Amino acid sequence: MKTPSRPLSPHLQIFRWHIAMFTSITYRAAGIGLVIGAFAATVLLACLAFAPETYEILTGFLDTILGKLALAGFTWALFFQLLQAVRHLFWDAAIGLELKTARLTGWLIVGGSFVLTALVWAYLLFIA
Amino acid sequence: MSFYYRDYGLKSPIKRAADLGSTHSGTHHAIRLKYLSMALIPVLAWGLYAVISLAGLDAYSARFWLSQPINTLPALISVIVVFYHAALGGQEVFIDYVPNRTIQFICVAKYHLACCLACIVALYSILSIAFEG
Repeated sequence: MKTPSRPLSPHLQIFRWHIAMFTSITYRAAGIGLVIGAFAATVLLACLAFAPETYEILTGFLDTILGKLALAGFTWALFFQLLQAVRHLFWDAAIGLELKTARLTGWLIVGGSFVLTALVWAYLLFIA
Repeated sequence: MSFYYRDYGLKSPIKRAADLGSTHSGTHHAIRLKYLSMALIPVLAWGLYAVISLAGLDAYSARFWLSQPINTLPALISVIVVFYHAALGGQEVFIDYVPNRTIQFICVAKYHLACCLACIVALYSILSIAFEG
């Protein structure tokens, strides 16, 4: 089946930058990152069950600066995905779709995701 | 949603030729994804608790933690919800970015298979730890 050529809508280079662009593409990127993280966590779990020495080597890597950065990125992706999903649930109920509100909630979830990540890591690094 | 080939039977010939209009499907997918995302909120909370509990433990202590029934059951539920949601959410990426329908179909099928496989491996690992102690 050949699709007819259709006019393309103006794209990123044309539109003025907007918070909705960031939340939209980051929602998807975070989702992809989380899927990769879920597969990695499965490897870790399988190692814990069947190769405990390998589990300790892998968690040892997670304890390094690089490992911690990866984990922090994962935590942030988790919170961003959560907050954006909640925002989407409200949109599904037709709440918060006005431009002003949508812009505000966009900035709120970006800020909120960083705050929640910072809280979890403050707890992990300084209290736990 | 353009993933299901058989839905083309519901379109009029002119719509099929133009490849435009409603596919008359996708509501089921969207609702399932929403319910799973709501289920993921408590799963996320428990996941954070699990990571915080497991941080810094050696393999022996981590296995002991996971073999407690109060931790085994939420772990099993979390794995199922996470991979079910990952399968449904991730397929949208292939549907949006792979224009060739045949390759798109193969990508989604393989991706679902990978999610099922990872889910089974994770469940089997947890159960194995739970029963071995």
